[in-house]
Amino acid sequence: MNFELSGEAREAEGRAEALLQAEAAAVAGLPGLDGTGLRRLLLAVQRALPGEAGAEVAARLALARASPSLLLGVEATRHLSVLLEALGPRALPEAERDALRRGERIGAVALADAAGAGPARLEVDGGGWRLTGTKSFVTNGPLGDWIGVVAGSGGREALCLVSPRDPGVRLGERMELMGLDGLAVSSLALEGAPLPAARVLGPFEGRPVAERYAGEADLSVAVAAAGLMRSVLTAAKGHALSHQRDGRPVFARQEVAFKLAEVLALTEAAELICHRAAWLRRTGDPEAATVARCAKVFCAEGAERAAGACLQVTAGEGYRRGTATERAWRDAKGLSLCGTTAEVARMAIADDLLSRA
Amino acid sequence: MPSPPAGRSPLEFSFTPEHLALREQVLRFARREIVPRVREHDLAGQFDHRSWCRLGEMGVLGLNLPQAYGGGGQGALACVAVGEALGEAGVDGGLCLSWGAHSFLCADTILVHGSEAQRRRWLPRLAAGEWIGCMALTEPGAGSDVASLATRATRHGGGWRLDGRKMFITNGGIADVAVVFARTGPGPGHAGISAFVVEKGAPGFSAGRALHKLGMRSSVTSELVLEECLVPEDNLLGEEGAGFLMALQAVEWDRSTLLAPFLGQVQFLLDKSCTHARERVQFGRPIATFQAVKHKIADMKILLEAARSLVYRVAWCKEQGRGLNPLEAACAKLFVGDASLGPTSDALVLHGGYGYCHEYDVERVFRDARLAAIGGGTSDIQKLVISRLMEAAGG
Repeated sequence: MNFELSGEAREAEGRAEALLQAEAAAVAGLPGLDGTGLRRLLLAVQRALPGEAGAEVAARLALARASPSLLLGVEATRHLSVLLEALGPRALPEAERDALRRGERIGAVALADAAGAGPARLEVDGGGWRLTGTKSFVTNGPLGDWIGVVAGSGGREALCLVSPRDPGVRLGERMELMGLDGLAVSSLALEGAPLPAARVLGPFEGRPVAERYAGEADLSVAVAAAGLMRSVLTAAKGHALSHQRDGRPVFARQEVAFKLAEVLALTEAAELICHRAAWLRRTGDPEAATVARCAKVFCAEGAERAAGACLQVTAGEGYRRGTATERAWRDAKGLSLCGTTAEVARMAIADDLLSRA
Repeated sequence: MPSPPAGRSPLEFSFTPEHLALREQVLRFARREIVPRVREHDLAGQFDHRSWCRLGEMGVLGLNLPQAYGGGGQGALACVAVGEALGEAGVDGGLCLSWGAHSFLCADTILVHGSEAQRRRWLPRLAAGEWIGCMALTEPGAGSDVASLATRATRHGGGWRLDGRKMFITNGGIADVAVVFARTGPGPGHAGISAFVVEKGAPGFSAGRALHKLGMRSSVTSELVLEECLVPEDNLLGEEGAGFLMALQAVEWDRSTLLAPFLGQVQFLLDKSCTHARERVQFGRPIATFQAVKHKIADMKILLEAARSLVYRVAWCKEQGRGLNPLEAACAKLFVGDASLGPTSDALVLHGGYGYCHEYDVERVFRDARLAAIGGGTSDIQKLVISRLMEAAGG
C-alpha cells in the first residue's frame, strides 16, 4: 500500500496546475468561450498532458478542480484514443493516430442513441460499410476531428471512425445545457454515411466497445465530480472564514463548520475511491469495472450533496449567477446524469455481486 | 514526510501477500472457531472467554506487539487486515471491541510509552491473552472533553494515590491491567494529565456495575472505581503530565484498526444479503431480480468501497511512523461512523422479518454498527476536530 503520490503523478499534477495558471483567463471565461476558443484551450491541455500524464488521477483532479467541463472535454479525446489502442490502432493513418495520442486532435465518442431513433446501424455496402443512426449528447461533438461511433451490425457491435467532414455525417448545433458550461455537446446524425472498411473496428461479439468506454467514462465523471467537490468546498470555506455575522466569521458556528467538515470527509473519500478505481484498472483487477461504477455513483451523488451544502453555507452570495457554488450546483446535477446513470450503474454493480458464487 | 522512491506508481491499494495470507488464515479460523459461539454470547451479554483464549493462541491479541514481548511484530496494516477478516467472518462487534481495547488502547500504550521494565512486566501476558487489558480515560463528566477529567493522582509515600470514577470502560470489569488517566497537575486543561498502569487487585481499585448496551453486548463495559487506590511509582507510564498526548496516540488506533471490523461487518452483511436475495423467492422469482433489492446491494458495495481507503490510509500513515494524522483519522472515523448506518439498515430491510430475528445475525450487526458513530469520539466530535483543523489551515 502507498498513499503518497509518486514523482510522476506529482509532476503531471504540477504540469496541469501550471497550465491552468497560464490559462486562468480562458478557464474563468469558459462559459462564454466560443468553439474556436474552447478548441484552443482543449488542445493546449491535451498537449500539456498527453498519454500517461493525462491519465494520472492527480492531474485529472487538478483539471476538474478548475473546471469539470474542461476535464470531460479532454477526457473525451483520451477515451477515443484508448478505444483505438485497444480495439484497432490501424483504423487511422499513423500520423493521425500519433496526433490524437499527442493531444493535437480532438476526439469524441458517440454512444447514446437519440430517444426514439433506434440503435445506430452499420450495414455492408459493396466493399465498404454504410452507417445510419442518430446519436444524442456527443461530448466534443462540435469540436471533434474524429468521432468514434458505436453501432450495431447483425447483433454485434462496432466502433466506426467518422470525421465531421465525411459525407452523410451531420453534427447538430452546440447544445445549451443547464450546467457544465464549458462542455461542447451536440447531436450527431448519420445519414447512410459511407465508410471504408479500414474505418470500422469490429464488428465484435458482445459489447466490448460500450463496456470499455463506459469503464473509462465512469471514472472520468467520478474524477470530475471529486474535483468539483474540492473546489466548491474551497469556495464555501473561504466564504465562511471571511463572511462576518454578529462580529465573527460564520465558520465559527457549528451549523456552518460541521457542514463543511462533512463535505471534507466526503471529498477525501471521493478522491481516494477515484485513485483506487484507477489503480484497479491499471492492475487489471477483475473488480475494476464494478469499483469504477461505485466511484461514479459515489462521487456524482457526493458532488450533489457537497454542492448543495456549500451553496447553503454561502447563502445569497453563492446563489448569484456565475459564483463557484452556483456553477457547482448546476454542474453536479450534470455529472450525476452523464456517463452511466446512477440507476443503471447500481443495477450493474448488483448484477456483478449477485453473479458471484 | 519521506518522498516515495522514484518510479513508484501512483497510489497503491494492495495488501502484501503476507497480509493477505494472514487475513485468509484469520477469516477461516474465525468462521470455524469463533462464529459458532457468537450468537449465544451476544444474546446473553456475556464475554466469551473461550474465544478470547483462542484469539490469544492464534496470535491475534498480541499481533501489534514486538516478538520480543511475545507478540506478532505486525504493523497497523496487518491489524487492519485482521480486523476486517474478523468482521467479515461474522465475529460480533463486541469481541472485536474487546480486542481493540486490549491490544491497541492498553498494550500499545504500554509498548510506546512504557519503560523496558514495564514492557517486560505486562506485555508478554497481554500478548498471550493470559491477561486482559483496558484503557480508562472516559469519566461520568468527561467524555470527549478530556480536559475536564477529574480523577486525581496525588503523591503518596513512594507512589501514587488515585481517586475518581471511570465510565464506559471496555473490558473494565474483566481487565487484569488498566491504563488509567488521572490528573497530576492543576486543572482543568490538557496539561497535567498522566497515565498509570493499575493492576487488578490493587487496593482501592474495583469495577462498578457492568452496563447493558444496545450492541457490542459480548464486550464488558463497566464503570471503574478508584478510591484511595494505591499504585507504586513504577506504575507511572511515561512522563508525568504527558497523558493527553498518549490518549491521542491511542485513539489513532481507534481510527484505523478499530474501524476495520466495521468494514468487515459491512462485507459480512453484503455477502449475506446477496445469498438471501438469490435464495428468497417472492412473487415467483428470487428477490434478487427486483430493482429495489439490487439497489440496496449496490449501495452497500458503494459505501464499503468509499470507506475502505479512508481507513487504510490512516493505518498506512501510522505504519509509516508519521505520528498523529488527526485530519485523516477524523475523516475516516466520521465517514465510517455515519456510512455504516446505511448498509446495516439496508441489509436489515432486505432480509425482511428474518432480518429482525436474532438467528439471522443481521440485527446484531445493525445494533453493533451504531457504536461506530459514538465510541471513541462521536461523529459530532469528529466534525469539531475536522472543522478546527480546517480553520487552522486558513482560507
